[in-house]
Parts: sequence; structure tokens; C-alpha cells
Amino acid sequence: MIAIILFAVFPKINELSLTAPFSLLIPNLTDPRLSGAIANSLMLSASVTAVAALTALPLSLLRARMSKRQGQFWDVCFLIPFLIPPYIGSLAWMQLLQRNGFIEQLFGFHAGAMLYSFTGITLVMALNLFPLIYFSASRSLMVIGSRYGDIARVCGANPLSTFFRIDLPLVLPALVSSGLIVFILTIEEFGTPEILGRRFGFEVMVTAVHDKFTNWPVDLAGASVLCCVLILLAFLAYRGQQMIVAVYQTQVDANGFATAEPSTSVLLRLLTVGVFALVAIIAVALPLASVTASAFMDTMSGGLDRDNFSLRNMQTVFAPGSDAINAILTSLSLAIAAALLTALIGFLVAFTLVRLPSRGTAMLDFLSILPNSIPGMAVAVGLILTWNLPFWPVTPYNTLLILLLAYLCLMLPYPIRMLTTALRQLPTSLDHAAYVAGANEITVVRRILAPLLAPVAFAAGFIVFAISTRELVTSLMLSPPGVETVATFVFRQFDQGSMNVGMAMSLLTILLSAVVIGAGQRLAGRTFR
Amino acid sequence: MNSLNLHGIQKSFGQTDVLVDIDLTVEAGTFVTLLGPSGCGKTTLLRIIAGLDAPDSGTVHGRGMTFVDTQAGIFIPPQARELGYVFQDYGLWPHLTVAENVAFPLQMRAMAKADIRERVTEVLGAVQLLNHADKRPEKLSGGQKQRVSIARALAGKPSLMLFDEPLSNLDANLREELGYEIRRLTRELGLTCINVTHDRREAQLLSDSIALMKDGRIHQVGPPDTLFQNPIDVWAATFLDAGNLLPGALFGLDTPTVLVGRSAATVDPTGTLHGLVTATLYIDDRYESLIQVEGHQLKVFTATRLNPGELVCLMIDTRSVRSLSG
Repeated sequence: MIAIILFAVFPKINELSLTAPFSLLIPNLTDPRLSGAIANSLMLSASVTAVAALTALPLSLLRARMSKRQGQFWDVCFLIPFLIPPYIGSLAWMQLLQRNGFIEQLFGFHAGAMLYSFTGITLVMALNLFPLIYFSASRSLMVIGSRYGDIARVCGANPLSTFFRIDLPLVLPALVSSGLIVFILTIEEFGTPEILGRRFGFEVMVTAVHDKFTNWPVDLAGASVLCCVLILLAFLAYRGQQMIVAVYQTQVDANGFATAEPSTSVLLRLLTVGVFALVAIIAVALPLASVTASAFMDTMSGGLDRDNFSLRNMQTVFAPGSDAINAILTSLSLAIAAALLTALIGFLVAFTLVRLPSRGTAMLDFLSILPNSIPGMAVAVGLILTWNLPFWPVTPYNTLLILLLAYLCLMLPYPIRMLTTALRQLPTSLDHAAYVAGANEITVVRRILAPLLAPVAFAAGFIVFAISTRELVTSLMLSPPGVETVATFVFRQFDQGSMNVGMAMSLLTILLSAVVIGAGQRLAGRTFR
Repeated sequence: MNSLNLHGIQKSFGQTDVLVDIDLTVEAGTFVTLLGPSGCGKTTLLRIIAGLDAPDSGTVHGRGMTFVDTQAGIFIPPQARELGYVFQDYGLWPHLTVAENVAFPLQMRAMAKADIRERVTEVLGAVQLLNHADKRPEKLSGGQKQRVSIARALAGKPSLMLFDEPLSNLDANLREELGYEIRRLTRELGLTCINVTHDRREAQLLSDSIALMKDGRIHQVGPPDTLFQNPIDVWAATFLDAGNLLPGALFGLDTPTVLVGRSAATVDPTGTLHGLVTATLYIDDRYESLIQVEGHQLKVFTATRLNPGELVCLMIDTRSVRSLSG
């Protein structure tokens, strides 16, 4: 079932380069603008990954020596960047750093030149993504524990060589594999390069594809070539990540938990708190404050003035029949539909693949090599190319259905992965006991597997819901005329200069994500064992 | 009446033959254990009896019906065989309470609610878990979980019970206790039982009869005492750890290998075999010593302590020396 949908995305893109002669491929690839965009994408992803890793590694090393409660506090803190969609983060940084931004109003200097540069984009994206590496590395360090280091010390190694010869090599797989994920996310990110890069003519692959569709003449061939490159890169990076995990993970996991003792050195503790607070202020507090402040300001030009703050933006957003309220309703209903459908399809797929093995094993292997998610831009282009073909009697194109379809393509991997993993962890004796007790397949699914997997399915649904409500790329590309989602609404407000209403909406999105993801986590935590 | 009859069972996974031409008859009301090393096909055989696997060829008759006949194309699915099955990992449904777990097979038979309640109380009483009826399985200890699993298997009043290493996840004391309990329950109810294990202790603890399996074939069948006193070859004697294996020449016999029971060797100054004590320990209520005799190692039980390095003479009761083939 899923394969059909997924396949629809891949071959249809190829179909275009098949019907249009192959000869277009080479000129397209050698087009300086495209190759420039590809080079920019790679450079940006590489530097974002490097900066994120360099931020995350020291933090996770310090995290390993924290007391449990302190560690949990900072962990929650660094979850917050996940809640801020990257395009909102970029807008927040614009408000902070641009000429006449919050920083200049408060401290008298601005960093607009820095923000609208390669460095600026890199920093903004790295600050948004470094928690991924931080969580992966600190979890890995926790598993490794202090045991290996202690043994090295007993063998006569000093702290420095213990770090370089023992701890760093052990944590490297986690570092590299989460780094590759950051790489993929950067390469498929649209919002930040579009918002910040456009100001200084910086074009990456995703924004180039967007341009090819929105600027006349529409260049489908060029767009699809770029999408192929995009998918290829995402695929390669994902394969690399999987191989690293497969080769190294079990070896480290085998050694139980012997967590390092919390450090007792006052100096180290002060340093730890200082570093964490600094990063948290920059990566979490500043963008959040910026969004919140803008959301309650009447006009940007009014500045940080007492008279300039009011609830007017919220009133605009919630005014009955307003564009904003319609966008919220559209997003909510799409997200609910996507969550329900993906959870249901995910459950059925998982059961077919895991528990009816003769049919499933090959498919499972195939699924496991697919990227966790196809770049959103590629999904959008694929769907446009597919459903724009003249021979369909009925097409979802130009209706809300195409958005739902796009969300399904984008999000299905999450529930499928979560549910197949969960189902594989359920011992088969649970099913067999039911069969032996006289139950048929339907009863086994209904009475045994469905209730056992319900919490995981709910959690997956919540994740899908949260991502759907903030999804920007496919929404922007596929929304039928006159229909807006929350993300496109925010984006358009920014385009039209009514930043404050957009920010009010952003704040709502962030709060909604927080509530929904929090609820999902709690449900997932209630799984049976 | 034969309660279970397997004939000509073959099964292979890809290139490997897992079961080769298995014939086995289990009398009604007896407890038979399939004993063998891992990979000998015993679990596959149990799953074939339950219907969780299908043989490539052969027939399975049980409870007076034909479960499987590959030639006639008959295959009764597990849910229609009305067996009890006790899983190694218990297989208790974590989202149901103890009572709901036990009630499940009865619900599948569409019994009346009141009857179900009565029967659940009855079987939970039989395994002494009545006061845990409303708990979730996660709150129970390993032994209690296995009792629930047994109660669930008993609930539907099956005449044929299958056990998959029911004691292997339990610690030593509990194994013995639950072993006696399984023995008592199944004998009282006159159940026909098939058990699978790689552990000879578990087999001895539970069985009326043991079928020793090797490489997908049944190697030897017999009651525990016969099997352990008269293993048919060196492999069986070694796997069962039935006693000391020595060259026949030591006793003036032609056979290359003989089996000498552990209690057949005694330390006696008039003994003809001379040995060197290499290790000694105190186990249960006796001493157990390793003694080197002409390059062969013997394990011997004695009532008094022997010291490592000591030279001893061994007397062997020749009535318990058995020639072994292979």
C-alpha cells in the first residue's frame, strides 16, 4: 500500500525525464545556476553539520557529568528548538538582529550584515538542529558510561588521552550518524534559505526548485533533475547513517548502564551551568522571546515601547471568519486526517509486514533502506508532476486532497517505522497463545495486537499531527488557490510585511506543538512491557 | 487409546532438514519430553503438533482427529485444535489481567459469562493464584507468571497439553517446586503432555517418558531411568551426562568405550584401578571428586573428603559397566 504511494513519487519524476528526452539531463546538470545551487546546498549542509556537532559535543560531554535532575532540566530546555519550525526561527532571528531589531533597540548594535550571509544562515540553522546531535551523543555517552574511561585510567592514561583514545572513538558513531541526519534536514530545508538567503542572492537546491515552479516560464525538467539530486543526496546520507548504526551500535550497547558519577568539582559545575545557560539563551530564549514580543506588538516600527504592546494581533488571528482562523481550521483538519490515516495505515502495514512473514520480509528490507522521509520538496514536485498529467479523469490537484496526500507521503514513514519496531518487540508467543486458545486472525488483531499497539499508534499520530500543522514546503507548493495552512499563512504575512500577525500565529503553532508532542510522549511512555 | 500419533513428519527450512521422518506415539495420560540440544528440531516438532508450523509431509493425529495429513491436504489451524500450550516466555497478554488472560480461551469458545467466571476461579485456585486474579502480569514474579500461563492452558479443559521449556526461565528452587506442581496437576487431570527442553534435569523432573532427539531424528525413547542407565551410544551418554566414559580395555572388554555409573566406583584399597585426585568439592550431601585414571577423567561420589594430589585405588562394580556403540 505504502509502496504504491512512495513509488508514485519516484518513477513519476523519472517519467518526466523519460518522456522528455534524456538529453536534457546533461545541460541541466551543467547549468551554472543549478550546479551553483547544488554546491551551495552541500556547502551549507556541511557547515551546518560541523557547527551543530561542535556545539553539541562539548555540551553532551558536560551533560554526562551532571546530576540526574540538572540533566533532565537542560534536556527539556534543548527540546524546545524542535518545537520552533525553522522558518519561524529564521523570522525570529530577523526581528532580533536586523537593523532596528530588538537587539539594536536594547543594546544599540545590529548584526544584519552577519545575519544575511552564509555565516548567518549556517548559525541560525545549526542553532535549530544541534539538539539532535546533543541528544544522540549524550545518550551514547550515557550508555558508554565511565567504565571504559576508568579502565583506561587504571592502565595509566591521563584524562586527555582517555578522551581522545577511548571516549571520542566510542561516541563517534552516534556523532556521525546524528550529524548525517542534520545534514539531510539541512539539505531539504526550505524556509531558512528562502527567508534569509534571498536577501543576499544565496540559492540552494530547494529554493531553486521553488523558483522554477513559481517564476515564469515554469521549468519542470530542471526542477525534476534537481529533485532527483536532492533525493539521491538524502538517500546516500541516510544509507551512510544506517550503515554506521548497524556496524557500531550493538557493540557499544552490550555493556549495561554504568553512568558516570556526577562531578563534584565546583569549578566544573559552574562552567557547566555557564555554558549550558549561554547556549540555552542563544538557541532557546532569544528566538522564543523574539516571537513572543513580536506577537504582542502592534507594529514593528513602534519598537519595544509599552504603548506598542497589546492583544490586537491575537484578536486579528481569532476574528471570526478571518484568513487566520480559516488557515488554522484547514491545518487542524488536515493534520487530524493525516494523523488518523497514517496511524491506521501504519498499523495495517506493520501487521502485514511483521506478522505475515512470507509476504513481508522482502518489503521490510526494502522499507528499511528508504529514507525516513523523502525531502518535502521532492514529494511536492512528484505529486505535481503525477497529478498534473492530462490523462487523469479526476485529479486531487487543486483540491485539499492533494495536501492530504502530500502529508501522507511525508509522514507515513514515521508511524510505519514506530509500529513495525514496536510490533517486532512484542513476542510472537502473544499471538500464538491466542491462536492456540482458539482465536482467528481478526480476533488476534482486534483483541491482542490492537490494544497493545494503541499507545504507539497514538504517539505516532500525535507526531504526525504536530509535524503536519507546521509543514511549509508542500503546503506552499500544493495549496489550491485561496486555501492557506498555518505555515503558508505565516509565510505570506512575512512576505506582505504584516509580521506581527504572522508572529502571533507562530506563537500559537509553537504552543500547539508543545502541547501535542508532550501529550504524545506521555502516551508513548505508557506502553506495556 | 493413543492420544497423539505422529507419522513420517518431515520438515526443512531452505536447505537444512530440521525434522527427518519422525514417528512418535504418545499414550493417553502420559507425560513425554522431547529432549535434545538446541537445533535438534524439538521446538519445530512441538509447533507442528500445535499447528503453529506445518510439516512438509507426514500426518499428525491427536484427540481422535486428524490434525495434519499432507497427502490428503488436511491442516487444522491451531485455533481449532483445542490444545493447551505453555510458552517458555509465558506469552501472557500484558494488557489483560490475570483473570482476563485465563478467560480468553473460554471466551473464544463462546461460553456463558457465569460459566467462564466459575471456571477461571477453579483453575486459578488450582495453581494457587486466586488472590492475584485482578493483577496485570507485570506485577507477578516469574514463577507466578508461569502458573498463570499453565492456568490459561488448562482453562479450556484440553486433553493434550504442550509445554515449551516451562521451567527454563525460573531459578533453581522454583523450578523444582513448579516441576512437582506441573507433575501433580497433569497426572491428576489425566492429561497427555508433550514437553520440549534441552535441560535433562527438567526432563527428569517432569516426564514419564523421554524422547531423545538428535539432528532432526528421534534418537532413543524410554522412561527416564532406562534412558539414563542404558543410553544407546556414546553421544546419548555424553548428552545425558549419564556417567563416566572409559575405554573398554580397562575392564578387559573389546568395546572401545564403556559407561560406568558414578555410584559404581568406590574408593577401596583393594581396588584394581589407580588414580590421582585432581579436584574435590562438596555438593548437596556428599563429596564429588575428579580422579585421573590412565589419562581418563572420572567423576566419583564419596562420603569422605579426598584431597587433590592424593593417590587412590578405585573399585568398580562391574555389574554397572555398559558397553557403548559409536
